[in-house]
Amino acid sequence: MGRKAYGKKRNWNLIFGSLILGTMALLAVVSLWYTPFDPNAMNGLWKNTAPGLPHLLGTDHFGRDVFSRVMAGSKNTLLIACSVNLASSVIGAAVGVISGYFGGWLDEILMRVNDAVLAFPSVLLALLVISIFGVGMHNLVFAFVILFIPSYARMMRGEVIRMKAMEYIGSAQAIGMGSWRILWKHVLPNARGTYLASVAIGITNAVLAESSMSYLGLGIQPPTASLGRMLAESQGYMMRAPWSALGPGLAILGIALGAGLLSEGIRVKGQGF
Amino acid sequence: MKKVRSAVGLLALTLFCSVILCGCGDDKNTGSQASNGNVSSSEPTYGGSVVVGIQQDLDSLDPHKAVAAGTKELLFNVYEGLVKPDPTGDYKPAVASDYTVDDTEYTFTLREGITFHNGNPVTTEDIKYSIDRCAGLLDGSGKEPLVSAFSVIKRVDIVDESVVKIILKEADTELLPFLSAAIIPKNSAEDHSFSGTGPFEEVEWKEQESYTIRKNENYWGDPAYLDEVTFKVVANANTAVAEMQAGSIDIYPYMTDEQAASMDGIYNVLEGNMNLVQALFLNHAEKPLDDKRVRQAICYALNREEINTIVAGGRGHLIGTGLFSGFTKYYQSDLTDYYSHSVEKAKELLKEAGLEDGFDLEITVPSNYQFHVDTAQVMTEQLKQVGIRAKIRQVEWATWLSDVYAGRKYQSTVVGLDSTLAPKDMLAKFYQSSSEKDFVNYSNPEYDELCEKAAATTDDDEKIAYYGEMQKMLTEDAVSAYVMDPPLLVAVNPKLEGYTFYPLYVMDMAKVYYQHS
Repeated sequence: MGRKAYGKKRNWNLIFGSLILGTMALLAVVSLWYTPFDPNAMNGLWKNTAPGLPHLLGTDHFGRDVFSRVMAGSKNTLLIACSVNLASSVIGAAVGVISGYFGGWLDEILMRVNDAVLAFPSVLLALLVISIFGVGMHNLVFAFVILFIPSYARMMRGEVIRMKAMEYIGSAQAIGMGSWRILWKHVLPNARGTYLASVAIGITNAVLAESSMSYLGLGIQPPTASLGRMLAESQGYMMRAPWSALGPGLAILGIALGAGLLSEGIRVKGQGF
Repeated sequence: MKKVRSAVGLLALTLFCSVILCGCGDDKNTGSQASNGNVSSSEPTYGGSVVVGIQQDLDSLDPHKAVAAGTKELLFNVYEGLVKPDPTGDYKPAVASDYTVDDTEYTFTLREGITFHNGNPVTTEDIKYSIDRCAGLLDGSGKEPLVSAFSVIKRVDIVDESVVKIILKEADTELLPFLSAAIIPKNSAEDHSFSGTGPFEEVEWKEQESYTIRKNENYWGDPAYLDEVTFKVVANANTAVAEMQAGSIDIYPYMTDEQAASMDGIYNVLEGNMNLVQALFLNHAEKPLDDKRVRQAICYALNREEINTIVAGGRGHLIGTGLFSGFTKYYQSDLTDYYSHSVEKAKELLKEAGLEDGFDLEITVPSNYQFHVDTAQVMTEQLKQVGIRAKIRQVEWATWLSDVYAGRKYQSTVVGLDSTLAPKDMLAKFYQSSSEKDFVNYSNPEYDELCEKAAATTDDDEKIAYYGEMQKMLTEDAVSAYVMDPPLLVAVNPKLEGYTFYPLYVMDMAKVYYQHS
């Protein structure tokens, strides 16, 4: 580590990004087994109490522990963000790689469909899906996956087209290597950095998208905690109990900032190779 | 990177927007409060306009066809019936100047010189048309009355230019409150040229946005103080608070307890009753809610005191049956504690019904009513303790009206029911199996028989006895899990005075005025 520090600038983005996102993820994972209080348990005597003991981040207008809810909310929000990005990045990458590598009419068709989805305002598209299939966590994930595929496809396609012009791909083709083998052995490994960086950005976007949908009352249904819903519910108590907004607000900030820094860190690290 | 930046922008917006809004509002309102502090007299002045926040858009501008309580409470300012309720709940002559009741004959004398907002004088023809329309008698059939209580009307006779007689099929002493149904010009429904006689006249309706009314200069009674009132649709109570703090709403009638506390010192908060029956209404056509034991288990599982403390700050009036205390002599207050909270009893009943492992219950709630959404959240927690896995489904108001109220496609719902002050309007309208509004699908021949008996009798003591029995039946059958008559917390700009509470779900703007300054 010491030697590396002389040769290169330390990758602060990567370090802080992983730290912040790691903390949030840890909180979320721990909430599966332990939260200081039951995140949904209400207590009429403890309504809107300020941060302190035993309620570290205070309580909301139902007397629920904000810290426990932030933990549970982060879990739900991150769960959505991760599943959305896992699904949409795999599908999106597949579409992008195929369309970029093979080109021709296949590329035309895939990319025009892609453009059509992209042309829709994102919130409107999500609203459309939810009004057809109804509110609920699964439908929300489904809506976001559709929403997120095009940007992944676009990005991977660009990456593949750039790579196709490189000599090593040409050489591989010259020695008679099959297309799928080239994709698997040469193209995909080289696109890894870009892919990971965009997944990190995707996580940020999904967290914010989930928050705004829940904020509109169309995401996760009460009383289940989600960061966006907590923000929405605490809106009316801003003056009396600002902590009930501060907790989820900071959590969203943490996840978004962490993922953003991580993405930048991965990108820089990728360039270093 | 552009995406990240816009995303961070959005985040910043959600986080700080309301802070900034609150900040601005604060300054402005502290200012107005200071000036208010100097004025101690509250002499009424004429003129000025106010903006009133409302929770939902109007469902219809047709005064006879509007079904939503939130619409009727506004139209109260524009339309009047032959009679009209006053703040004590008595029905006083309005379009009629006088009336006499003689068993099956109601005789009304038209008020002299009264005109519609369109300038035309009200005639007895208009009265006949309006009553006929509500009774479904326009085509002579009387089959589909818009006001179900009017099915008792046989015909409307015009005696002369100023006297109208309503002839009933049988005596009905409860008809008077229903005769507050709007009087509109003859044939006005055909081209939607409605016109009323109230203290305010309609200016315009912007869908999903606002409804504006202005003072009727030729009003027959005490004229309104304000020149103009705009009812502005505010999506939720939280937005309303922000708007009030910014000073863009003068009156907002549906504050939650905590919000009311946050308005302290900025706006005056007045407290009354909403005059609603708030309950977890259960659809008897849905399994397992068709089982009385399951419904009773739900009643036992709910801790209404806790609900009251958490969502209403303890200011609501708990009820145990389908009427609220505004019904005075008819209301059975001793049923309130019939189901006192007991987790054991609830579990026992579920076990008897073969549901010891609990069951899934979907609670549909109109998302614009914060109060009902909050109530549903507390209920979800309480039901969990007896093993009932409740899930909340928020729907828009229009969807609620079409799917739940009209379509009866729901399992359970939290909402409040309003009514005129005739007990029939609650007890027969919502629970008699033949009623179109029996949206809980309650069907009990004994109950139906009582409904008929209560309607038929003209003896008040008998009537009270019948309605008492009906309320008892509603409670014992656990037709729905009745919760409370919620408190009505009205935030009012401190410059305004005269906001008056009624024992009914109405909002009377004619009595509101700006203080002399």
